[in-house]
Amino acid sequence: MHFERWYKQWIEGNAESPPEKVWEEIQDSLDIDLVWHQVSGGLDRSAKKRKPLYWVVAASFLLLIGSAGLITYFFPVTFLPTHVTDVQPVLHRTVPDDMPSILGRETALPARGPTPLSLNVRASFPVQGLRPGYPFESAPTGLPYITAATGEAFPVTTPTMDSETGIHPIIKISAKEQTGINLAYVPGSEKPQQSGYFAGISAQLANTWVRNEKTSAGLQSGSLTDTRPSFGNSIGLIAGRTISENLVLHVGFDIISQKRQAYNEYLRGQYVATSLEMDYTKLSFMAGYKLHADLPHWTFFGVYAGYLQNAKSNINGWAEPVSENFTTMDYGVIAGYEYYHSLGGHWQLGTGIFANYGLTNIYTGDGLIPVHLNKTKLLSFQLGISLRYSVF
Amino acid sequence: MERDLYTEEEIVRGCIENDRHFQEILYRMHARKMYGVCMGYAGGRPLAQDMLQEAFVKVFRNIRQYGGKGSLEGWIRRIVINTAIDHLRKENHNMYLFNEDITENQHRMADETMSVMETKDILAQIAKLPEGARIIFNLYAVEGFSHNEIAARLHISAGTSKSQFSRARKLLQGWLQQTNV
Repeated sequence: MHFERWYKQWIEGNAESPPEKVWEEIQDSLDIDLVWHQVSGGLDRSAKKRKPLYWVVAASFLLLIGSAGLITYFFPVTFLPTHVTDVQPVLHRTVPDDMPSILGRETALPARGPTPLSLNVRASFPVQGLRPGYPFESAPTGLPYITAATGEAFPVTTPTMDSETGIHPIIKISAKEQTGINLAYVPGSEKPQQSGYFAGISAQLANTWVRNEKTSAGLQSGSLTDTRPSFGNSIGLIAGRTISENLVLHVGFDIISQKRQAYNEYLRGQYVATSLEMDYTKLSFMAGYKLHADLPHWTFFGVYAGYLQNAKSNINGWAEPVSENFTTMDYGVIAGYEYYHSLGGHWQLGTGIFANYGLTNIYTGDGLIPVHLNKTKLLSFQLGISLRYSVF
Repeated sequence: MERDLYTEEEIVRGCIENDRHFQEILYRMHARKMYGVCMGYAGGRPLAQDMLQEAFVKVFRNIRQYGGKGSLEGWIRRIVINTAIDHLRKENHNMYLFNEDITENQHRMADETMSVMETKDILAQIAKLPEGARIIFNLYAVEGFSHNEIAARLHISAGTSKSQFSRARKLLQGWLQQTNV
């Protein structure tokens, strides 16, 4: 008799029934399932109560970024300098050499149609809160800009001329700059040097994903694993150089960059809460491109390298170091958006959202699961805030 | 039998609704045959019972995924086999599962010897096989997988599958022969 055929017949012809305890233990497991179903239902209800908190934080950031941008873009305030001079009539206009320099509101220049745009106009319009003798002349020349009493500088959005007189510059500025401005407007001149350096600090709240076959399957409703949203924090330093008005190079050094992944999985007859906690130190290089010439909307693209400081898994409260199961380095790409709010002087506050996508498999395998069965990559979505100081 | 009162579709639907009555019917319909399959991989009753239990728990948890496509027995059998392999992997550091050397034995077993052997003797010899070789031998001899299919399933080369099978076959034959001499 052919040996394989004999063996197959022996297997197929098994007349032995499993002992009753097998069915009893199956029932026990199914009963545990029912209990777990009730427990997880309670946990889900609790989680649903907590989730809105995360979404509120995330939505607040987005709202802050979006509303600031929208207000600036869609609701500029038309500011007529003549109104200001009524409060404190100090007005300087410098006209080309062929025209006289005139001081004071009453010394309006003759209408010249569209030609006033070619005039070399410099004007100071002190308003409420402006200190006497504010040194507007010390501001950089050559680019249309407005300086506030606080020293804050920002570009003029859409300089236009009064259509009737052709004299007074009408400059659109946003609502927040209405109190105390010092204005200088020099169209047609050479633009000032835009390059410079900046440095600062950054902090981020990240929705992190440790992606592998198990956690990906856990997103599906029918899976035995239940992958849960996980969050980590990052804090670090930033530095960079402004190459031009629209281009900036950005270096980020996250002293700590947390990657987290929590999931419930079925282990040895019961569901257990498992979480993977990894702490990285991360270095990133990005190039930023300004989306709008007059507004501080920036998009960023770049790469990062992460160095694993430590990793541990936490199963039902039992923590175990698992650093040896992961590679020391992680490499990936970054893309994001950031909006800068001027805080006055050289200070700026950036709020943004970034996506980090790991390109390398960080799992090195263990005695139980080899590398090829558990390829793992990192992914995170970060809401960030940064404070930076510019040096020109 | 009570199971004859229901169609397979009714039994599956009852299991989907988590009805313990229908779950028991399904279990008793397939338990014996699947127990035999498990013994082939386990090489012993206690481990086979663990495998069978774990497999049927998976069957009941995932029976929605069956969807009536193909044979129900075939679907259950796949779960049983996968569970058995996973079970052995967990217990025997997977990385080395298929790398163990097997001492070859050239003994041949006579037909009459095979026909009179008792289950306990066969199980005792199966248990002696390294787990990796045991898995490959069962997948090839019982399930009818080709070496290429086994290689893809276990993430090993087809050559490894062939050599492991060949050695396991000779070894098992030899051991069984010795048992009955």
